[in-house]
Amino acid sequence: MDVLRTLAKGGDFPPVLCVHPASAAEGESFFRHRWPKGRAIADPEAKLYAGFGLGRGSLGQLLGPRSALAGVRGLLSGHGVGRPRGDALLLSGSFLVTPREILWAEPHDYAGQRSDWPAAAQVWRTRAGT
Amino acid sequence: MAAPYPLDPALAGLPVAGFGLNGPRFADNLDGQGTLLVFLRHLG
Repeated sequence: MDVLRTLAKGGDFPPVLCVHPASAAEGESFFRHRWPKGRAIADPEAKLYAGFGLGRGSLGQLLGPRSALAGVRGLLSGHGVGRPRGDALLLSGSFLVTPREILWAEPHDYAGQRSDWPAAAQVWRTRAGT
Repeated sequence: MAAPYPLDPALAGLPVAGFGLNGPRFADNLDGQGTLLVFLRHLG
């Protein structure tokens, strides 16, 4: 979240919209504290997750070696594991989207996978002609 | 995953609620040039 917030502050990055599986009230409380200028959709029924092909991960995707490594990396970076709110078994992902098209898609293969947001920003810049 | 590809119109019209949103439908919150949609596993 901190990396994303920092990237979004720059003028050369697409507008960011988060989607989370917690309730709207939980999301508001979280974002008001952590990212007041952020925007977030509450999707406790995971309709958008499903619409973008994101479902629950398998045991291997959630707790396998790559996820464990990502967890250790996160802990070393000072990121703890918060209390899960919503469906903690969902996999994450990032997409560059217009009202009509999906321009770039990166559904994650395992929990803790890092998103290649600079790649998405490059597609966005190319489209903008900058 | 190969892209670009069309966004499902049913998905575009999905009612949404949340924080700092521009409108009540999913597509209301998407910029014409592109919005980076980040699906989180959880808050925290």
